[in-house]
Amino acid sequence: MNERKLRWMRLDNAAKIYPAAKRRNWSNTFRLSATFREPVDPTVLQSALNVTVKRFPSIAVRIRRGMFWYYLEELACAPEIACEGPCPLIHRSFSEIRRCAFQVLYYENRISVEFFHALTDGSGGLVFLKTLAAEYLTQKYGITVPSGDGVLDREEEPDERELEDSFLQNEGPVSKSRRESAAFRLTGTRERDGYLNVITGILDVREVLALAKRYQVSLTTFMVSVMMMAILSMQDRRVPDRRRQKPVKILVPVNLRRFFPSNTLRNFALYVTPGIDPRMGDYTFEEILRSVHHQMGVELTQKQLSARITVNVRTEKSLALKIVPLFLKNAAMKFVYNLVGEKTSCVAFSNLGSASLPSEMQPFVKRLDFILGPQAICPNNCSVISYRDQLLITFSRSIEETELEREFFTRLRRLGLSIFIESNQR
Amino acid sequence: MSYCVHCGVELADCESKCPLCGTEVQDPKAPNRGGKTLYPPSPVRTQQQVSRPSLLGLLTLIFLIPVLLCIVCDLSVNRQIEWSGYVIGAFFLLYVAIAAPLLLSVKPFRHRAVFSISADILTLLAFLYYIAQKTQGGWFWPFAVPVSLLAGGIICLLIFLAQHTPLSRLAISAIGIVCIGLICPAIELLLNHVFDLRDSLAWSLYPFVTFFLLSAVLLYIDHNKPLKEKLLQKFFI
Repeated sequence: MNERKLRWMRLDNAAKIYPAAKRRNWSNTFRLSATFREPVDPTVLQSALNVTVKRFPSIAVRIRRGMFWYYLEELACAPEIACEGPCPLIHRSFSEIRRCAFQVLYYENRISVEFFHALTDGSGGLVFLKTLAAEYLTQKYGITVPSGDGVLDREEEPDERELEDSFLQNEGPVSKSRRESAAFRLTGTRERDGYLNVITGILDVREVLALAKRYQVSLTTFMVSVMMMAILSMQDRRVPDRRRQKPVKILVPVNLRRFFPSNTLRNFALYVTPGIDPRMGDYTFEEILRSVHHQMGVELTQKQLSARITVNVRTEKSLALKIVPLFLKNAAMKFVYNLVGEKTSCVAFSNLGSASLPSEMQPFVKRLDFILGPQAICPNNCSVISYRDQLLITFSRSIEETELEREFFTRLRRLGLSIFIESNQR
Repeated sequence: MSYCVHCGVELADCESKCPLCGTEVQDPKAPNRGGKTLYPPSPVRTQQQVSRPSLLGLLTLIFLIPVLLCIVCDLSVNRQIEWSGYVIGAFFLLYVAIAAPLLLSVKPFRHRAVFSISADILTLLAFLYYIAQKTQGGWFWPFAVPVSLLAGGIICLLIFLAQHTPLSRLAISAIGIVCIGLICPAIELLLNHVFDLRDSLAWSLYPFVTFFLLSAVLLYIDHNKPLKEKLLQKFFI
């Protein structure tokens, strides 16, 4: 009988904070979905998942507790798929995450994968989703989907480079301080039953790109600037005294694979927090655009990012930290996370970029979705993905008020963009 | 396709109102809108609430534990209720203070707070009567009853003013402070009468004057709107 030992892996450098920062009713998760033209066949989906998980030993895992660190342990078999609940990213307890740290769901024409963020980032998750969708289409319709465009060959053995912690490989000689100023905090009335509200705005990506090009900035810079305008006006209403206002900063995750050679399917992302300080005076939209453009330009260089990787890696390598038992480490990391983790930005804006699929899959896949769960304290998050001509901007929120979404989308509307809105409002 | 007349965005068929601003969708050409929802239908939101009677039952059990313990200890040492009577009385006073609002909130009615305060005052009087009996004190009827009724009356008056008159919080606070100022000479007069202390007022004039002036200041601020705004701006928490 061909038996093999289950792999285990240390958490990557970015993942270490996630199990420690979890709360009774919150853990850091995100979701990727693919919508087909026909209803999903659950039996075929389960069969496709059984094949796919073998190719992703760093994603098909459970979280386990060691003496000094958490670690990932490969699952012996694929988890069972389930039908979706009334909202995405329904909270899973940590004991569930310790049994299986991701789950595959289906509803009507859509398959969704919800990941605990300690496993992978958006790029790694997207590769998993595309490969699962490719296997599903292969089994369901008998088509052949070659590897490429983010789809992996399910027959292949996992490549060791896909499992590496790329942070450790890219440690530089100089480290950079993590100190940042606090930002304005969005607040609202929490949904008592943990319901996650989602509003998705669908735009024509060509229209948005043309507008961003007219302002000579990237799509991310453009959207981040609109978000800043929206939050500025919210802060003006809530804190009329200008001297008491706080900087408006947006957390923008950065895919480090664009800057460093890496094939990893694990977390390999950092973030930048471009911001403006309203205490300095009024800003025009053009001023914000230029400011964000230049801030991103300064931060997003290989050297700057390497210095920021270095400070994180050196902390992890510190012997004083290593020898502390996990329960103490957890308490300390949670304390630090609560103290500074979410204070340096108002909201996250995660742009997964333009997702493409092999031409064989395109006739079957209508749409791709990306939803980033809200943070523990910050009640709103925004995630973006584009597929073919669609740009999907999804806001998730754990509060009742829709003020941020309304400000953001109506500003886009006033800039002349057509928007199609859908939601899971009750 | 339907658009929100307020936000100008196009809405999915499943949206009966705009998710951004809540404006109802009215499309004369598609009166029976209704498409597939993004997620399976949400179950009706039911919020589990603890019923008042069960909360009251739990509270009673929690209070019974120290009360019974005290009785057992007292009986086993003294063979009769001695010191435990005071403890039981104090616990009963606390129990009524917490349980009366709970009991009265089962069926909401207008003068709930006044009834709660009345229950508290009556329990307090009963407790004081017990202490007076045990200590052979002659102070209950001439001193404890009038002071307790006076304090209860003032609290009820303030609640009534807060609930049934348009007076501001500042004005009600001013009235409360004047009442405290007035009660001080009354207490001193009663003390002098019951315990034969002296023939004239002494200490009570100081709090009376202080509270009276403080109340005047509050009423002045309440009537001077710009000053009130400025102070609110400077000292808000």
